[in-house]
Amino acid sequence: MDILTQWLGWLPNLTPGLFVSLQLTGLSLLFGFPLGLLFAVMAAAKLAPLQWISFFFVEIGRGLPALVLLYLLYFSLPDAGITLTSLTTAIIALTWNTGAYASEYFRAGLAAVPLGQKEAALTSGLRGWTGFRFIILPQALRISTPPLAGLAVLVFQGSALAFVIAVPELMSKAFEIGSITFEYLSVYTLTAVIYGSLTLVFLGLVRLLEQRLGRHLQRN
Amino acid sequence: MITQLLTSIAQGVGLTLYVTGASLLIGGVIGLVLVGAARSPIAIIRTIATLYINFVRVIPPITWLFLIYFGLPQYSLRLSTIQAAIIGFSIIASAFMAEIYRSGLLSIPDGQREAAHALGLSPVTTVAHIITPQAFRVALPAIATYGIGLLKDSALASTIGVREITYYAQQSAKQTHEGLLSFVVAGALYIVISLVVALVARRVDLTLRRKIGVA
Amino acid sequence: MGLSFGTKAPPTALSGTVEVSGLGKRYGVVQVLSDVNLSMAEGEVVSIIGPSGAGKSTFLRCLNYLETPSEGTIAIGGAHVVAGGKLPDKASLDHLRRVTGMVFQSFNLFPHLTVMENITLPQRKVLGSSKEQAEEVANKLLKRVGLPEKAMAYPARLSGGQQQRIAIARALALSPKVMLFDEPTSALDPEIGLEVLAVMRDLADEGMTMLVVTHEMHFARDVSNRIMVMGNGGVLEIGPSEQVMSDPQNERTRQFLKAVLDR
Repeated sequence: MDILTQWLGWLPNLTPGLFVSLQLTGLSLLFGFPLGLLFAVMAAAKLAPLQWISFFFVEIGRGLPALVLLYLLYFSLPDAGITLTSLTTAIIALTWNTGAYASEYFRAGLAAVPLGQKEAALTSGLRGWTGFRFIILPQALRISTPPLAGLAVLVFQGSALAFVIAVPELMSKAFEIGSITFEYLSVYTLTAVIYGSLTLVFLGLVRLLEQRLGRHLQRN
Repeated sequence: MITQLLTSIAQGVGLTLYVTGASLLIGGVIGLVLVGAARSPIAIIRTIATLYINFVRVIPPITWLFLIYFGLPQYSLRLSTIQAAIIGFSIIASAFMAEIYRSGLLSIPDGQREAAHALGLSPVTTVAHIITPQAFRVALPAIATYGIGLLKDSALASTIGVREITYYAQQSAKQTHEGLLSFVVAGALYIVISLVVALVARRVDLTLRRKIGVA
Repeated sequence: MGLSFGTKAPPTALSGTVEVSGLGKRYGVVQVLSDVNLSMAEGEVVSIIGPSGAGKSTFLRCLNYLETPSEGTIAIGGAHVVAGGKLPDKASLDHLRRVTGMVFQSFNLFPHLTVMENITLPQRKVLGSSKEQAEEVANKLLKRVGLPEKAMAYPARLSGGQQQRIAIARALALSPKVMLFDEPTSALDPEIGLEVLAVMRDLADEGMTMLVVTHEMHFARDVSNRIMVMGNGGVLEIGPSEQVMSDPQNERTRQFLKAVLDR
């Protein structure tokens, strides 16, 4: 059979899976990035317990394989009396994972803002939250954005892990088709093409974003 | 309970290390070839190498594994789960390692090549004795970081049935209904291995730094 | 919003006077600044000169608490702070920083904001000015530093000299009583430094109280009323500019001036 016709025939089955993958990715980023910023700010807090909490969650989120984190929640939450759908469980695991990595980028971004900026903010009367909000944070975010965008691409790829706890995302749909048609090579090639092309589109957007963000730093 | 879980899950450490180590080694060698090919004077080789490096990385690792484990037998290439995992991770690692080598090479100042040229060293001697040792030294921390990343990725091998740490943790979770503990033990094993790798890498890095002292 | 800076002191008319006594700073056991006294009248310009490592910048940065002094008292434009012991309360610090404006060696403009926003943001956040009020002030100041056409530019597009002039405008926007300059021209090529010095000279002529750490001996002699020479964390001598330059009393001042002027 002509492979393109075969692929076109599968697309209607794969598309809903892709939407679940994108939903999973989107929500994990939506929750994960603010969580990462929170972890980063807590890591710099004066209160030691806040630092410990941040350290604990960041090190587990980064140190464990995402798959282990996913299983850990999937197998233990029901024991604790918390029953969630597998999609929700996957979102929590990926959010944790995303937040942990993002916090490192936010920390690096915050650290990269020159000390002189903080001093200039202080001497301009912009202290505390106001200075952080208007002077330090915007500059830190600009520095953190390219690595965060790169992280977003990785989270999209990581969303494929949700397959193992039966979230009906792209990999699951592909597996379904494979187990019915036994055309594994073909269906996984198509899946790879879908992941690959979306990732490439996304990377292109990241590059555009980087250029836009860098505009105010260009001399001419 | 914990001791029981630990002894059963720790059975997977061997295969986790084997899959990770073998893939890093094979991927590392292919990566060397790739980075050489990417700088080849022949345009078509350059293009293929660059495309390979960029395309391998945009496909999720789990998709690679399934493509190889479930897809290849269609062409009567029947692979064991371990072989499939090592092939998959080697392909992925080769692309990442090529990138790491490339940035290592980029960090060597042009002056080194020029100085070697001015001294009359042949291109092969220059690459073998001047560039590579310095590039390796620069790339080492990145290689260690990637190795730890690959260690964590190797957990995916459990999805095609490789009996490594995560596989045993999953079995324990199902059999003992100690889901949390099983994966806490598994997670702890990964973290301990990562720490050991990081410590060893830092040792080697410091030794090399003292010896070579790259800027 | 008037002159309420959050201090408990009655809102006396604020003047640009400086009264520093016994100021000292230690890092651990290292005394980097000891017993610095300085008293400035309103509208006076004092240049601080001396070899590097003399503590000039540290002294200046202690005045608005960018560095925390270990001992002494600081009274500037109605703000009064006693160093040592526990940190002064927020209101006193705010007050101190409100009556002082600072210009840094490395400009420290906010790179993500336009020139206009650099000047208006502090007014809006600190003084509670409206956007229109703040922009009106900003436009006046931009004219004053000779850069009215740069309002919409981002700092990275400006030359160092232009950035420093904008930085002066930004500091002036909060109507400080005393301006602190920390080597404002050291990061600039000499001919570019001149345009900054010209703005500072105008500012001095208009009666601003100014304290300037500088290596520009011409500026020190011609523009400032007095020169304070520092060495080893202390004041070597202080006196009328002409006199310090032509007839220094301290041996180390003589050595320093000889080294600088003979170059």
